[in-house]
Amino acid sequence: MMFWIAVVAIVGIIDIRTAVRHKNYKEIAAFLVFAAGAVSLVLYVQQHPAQMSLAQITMQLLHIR
Amino acid sequence: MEKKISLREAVTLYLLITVSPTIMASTNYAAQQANQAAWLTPLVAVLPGLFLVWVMNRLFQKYPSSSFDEMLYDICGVCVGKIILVLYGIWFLVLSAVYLRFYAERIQSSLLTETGIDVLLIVMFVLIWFSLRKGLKTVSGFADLTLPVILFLLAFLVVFALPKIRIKELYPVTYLDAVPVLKGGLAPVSVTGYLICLLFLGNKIKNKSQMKKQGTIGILLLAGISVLIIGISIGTCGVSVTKRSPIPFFLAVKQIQILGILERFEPILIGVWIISDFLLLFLFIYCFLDISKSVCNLQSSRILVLPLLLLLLPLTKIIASSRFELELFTKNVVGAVGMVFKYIIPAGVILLGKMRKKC
Repeated sequence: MMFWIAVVAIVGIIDIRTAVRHKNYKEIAAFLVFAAGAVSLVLYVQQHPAQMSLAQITMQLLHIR
Repeated sequence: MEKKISLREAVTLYLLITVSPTIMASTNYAAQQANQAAWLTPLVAVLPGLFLVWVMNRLFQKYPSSSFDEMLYDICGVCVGKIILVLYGIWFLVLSAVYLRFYAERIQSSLLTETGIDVLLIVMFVLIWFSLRKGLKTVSGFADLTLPVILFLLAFLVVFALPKIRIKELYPVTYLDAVPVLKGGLAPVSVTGYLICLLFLGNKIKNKSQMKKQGTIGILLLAGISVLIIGISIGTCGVSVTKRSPIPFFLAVKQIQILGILERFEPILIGVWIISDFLLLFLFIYCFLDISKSVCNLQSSRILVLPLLLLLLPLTKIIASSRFELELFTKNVVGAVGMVFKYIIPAGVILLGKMRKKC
């Protein structure tokens, strides 16, 4: 996953440079929000490998067995 | 400005994305609900499909150069429209994670048993990343070229599976099967509902005045393909095996033999799956990016492709802990919620549009 983050970071820098050149600051903000969310989720999954899955949580909330 | 695709190309894309869910989900679910009459369940989906075509036709007539987000803003107002779009975005994200996981699990269990799930996911991500960079026109062109090949391959598998069919597995079908067939029809109805994706591509499709004709052809063709796939699975494997097997059509294809010499045609089916899964994921991610662009008022969503793919990687892993759980989640939650997004919201939008005299 760390390799994947590195690839995204490298290619992301190129995308951000293009956006800066065209002064699309909204796009840069959206990129940063998405990237922060994605990296947080990656790190969370790595640190808590035995947590409940989304399916389990949803089905428990809906009382589905 | 992105090049527009024709309505025929869009319907072709729709037909191809439904191949994978039909093989994967519809057969098993239909057999569980309707037993030997399961092969009739796709016919149940024709009416809701035609209703969806009518809804889309009305919206396309009223808004000839808009996509669904612009229609929502006009009919429901910007604030409510954005809330609905965010919900659609979450739905597309969860669907993408679910189908990515199914794709990886299926390849791992049938073909590459020693390969890690990460490798399979990253290969698909790279493919989707390249195709998103090239745009919708390129991918719909690919779909247009692939559809005849896939239809030929499916016809080939169907023709050579016919000698293995035991007619007694498909009969008797009586009036008592009507209710089970209706219940089993939920899965084909759900698959048919993916036509809604074309509504999001509204501003990228040309000659939408033919929606009624092309949409009806698409719905009928999908029903025909589904009847064949479910019929052959049940006729070859029997109802009890079809109920228990996660991918019964795969088992049916495994039994094909030509003149007792040529056998093992399942790689053809796996190839068809991978193409269908790729197009399905491309379309869902494309719709999600389009929604993000509209909700955040961006000029282009191209910059979001990589962070989105990075987000999908852990999401695909935490969506379910096992294949069994994933199937249960899809059947009980994703399918039911999907009905709201595929049928109820578009119907509600057109109703509201009529009340506000906008449709």
